[in-house]
Amino acid sequence: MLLRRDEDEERDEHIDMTPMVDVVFQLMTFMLFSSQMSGGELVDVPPARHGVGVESNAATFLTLLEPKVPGAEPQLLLGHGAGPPATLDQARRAVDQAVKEGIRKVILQADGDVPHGKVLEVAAAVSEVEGVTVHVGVQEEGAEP
Amino acid sequence: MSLWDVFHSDRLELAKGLSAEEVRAGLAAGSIRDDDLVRPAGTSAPWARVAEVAELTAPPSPPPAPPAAPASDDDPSFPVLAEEPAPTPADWDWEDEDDEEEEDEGLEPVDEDDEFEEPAEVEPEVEDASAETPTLVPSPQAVADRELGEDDLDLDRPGPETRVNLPTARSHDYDEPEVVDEEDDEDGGVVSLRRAGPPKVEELDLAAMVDVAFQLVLFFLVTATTILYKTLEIPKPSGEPPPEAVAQGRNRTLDDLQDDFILVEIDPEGKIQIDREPVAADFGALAERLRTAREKTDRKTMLLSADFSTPHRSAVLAYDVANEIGLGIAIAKPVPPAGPPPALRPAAAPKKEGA
Repeated sequence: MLLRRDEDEERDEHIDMTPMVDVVFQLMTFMLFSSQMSGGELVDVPPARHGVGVESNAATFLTLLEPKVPGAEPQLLLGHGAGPPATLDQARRAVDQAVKEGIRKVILQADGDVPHGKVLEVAAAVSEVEGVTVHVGVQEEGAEP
Repeated sequence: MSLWDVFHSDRLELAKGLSAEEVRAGLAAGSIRDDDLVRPAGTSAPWARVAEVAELTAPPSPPPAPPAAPASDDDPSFPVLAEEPAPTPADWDWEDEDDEEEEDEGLEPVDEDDEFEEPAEVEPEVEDASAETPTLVPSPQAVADRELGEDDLDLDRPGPETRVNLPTARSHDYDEPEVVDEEDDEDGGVVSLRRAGPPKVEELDLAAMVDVAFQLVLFFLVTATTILYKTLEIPKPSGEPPPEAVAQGRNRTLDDLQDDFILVEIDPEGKIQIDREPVAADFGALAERLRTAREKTDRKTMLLSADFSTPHRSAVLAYDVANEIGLGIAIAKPVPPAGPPPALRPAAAPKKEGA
């Protein structure tokens, strides 16, 4: 009798939210660590042993995705992984605008299966902007997208 | 005329061989009290209180004791007599116990006798009590008989009552624990803590949440500016061939460039050749071959000549190996598959990639 009554009272009156909040925040932390700390996951960029780190807010991102249909042209996107499709001219103008804002680095996140010639086309297009340095995105060896 | 031994319980004196009249006279005079003990002289009969021996207290009419009030009108001693036969056996026991306690001080053997033989003397008084209570015993029967019509249920109930009494007894048992529980609840510190709990829960302990929130803020502040993307810097390829080359109408061939650059060629399948010699597309093998070529010919720049449709990852492998051994990188611009024959032109920055 006592136990039932006490249990009912406790359940009805209050729920301890602290453990749930702790778990939620820990999940958030886990998601932040696992998603944002690896910059190459959105695109299956080639692995490489060497490389330099470029801060995400100090570069203009362009993305070259493998064509979904064999034989089609790779898709050029403005941004990292997801963004509006763009032509070479639009990409050049975006880089030019970024250079005016002081962002002189361009990171080309190209899928590993994208033709090498297409990557160089994009790189050549954005290189027409003065003061630009071009980087291709890579990922740690053994890392999976 | 029977003689009696009287034990004065107040003085602890024993008077032997008193006649019943002397005892009654003593009672009337106050020398013998009602609580004094008496027994037939020269016998080992158990002691009895004087007031309980009807022969000594009221020789003419012990029976009229039930109507105590009329008996008390005759003699002044009757009120005492009238009061004493009246007590129930329970009262008698109480008084007797008191007597035993008093006797314990002086006469222990007598107490033992009393204890064993008292019931024999009690019986007649119980009979007296039953003689007095006959009006009580039949009365419930009479009531039951009178209320047969109404009390059929009552008469039937004694059985059911016993049946009902069992549950009621159980219900009392249930009630009692509840009472005990309530008492425990009131007395126990546990419940008081529980009752003190709700206000704490309502307030919600924000300290832990705030701590975690601040740690998240710090995490964002620290990592927002340090999220780095691993990249390889590549030389800027020119979009157009140099004007002078176009004007001269010639392009340098790979054989011409091989004198200045370590020529690395990659076909669309990813097969690699260094200085026109095939090499396994393996990081270690490529690094070894490039290192050997650099030492033999003192060429410090790699010229990557890959097909337009070569996978990007193969080109990145070549970049990575060049960085491994410290070679500069030059990239020959491939021509699209449907375009004119390749017009190769090295890129302008044969510096170490990633510097």
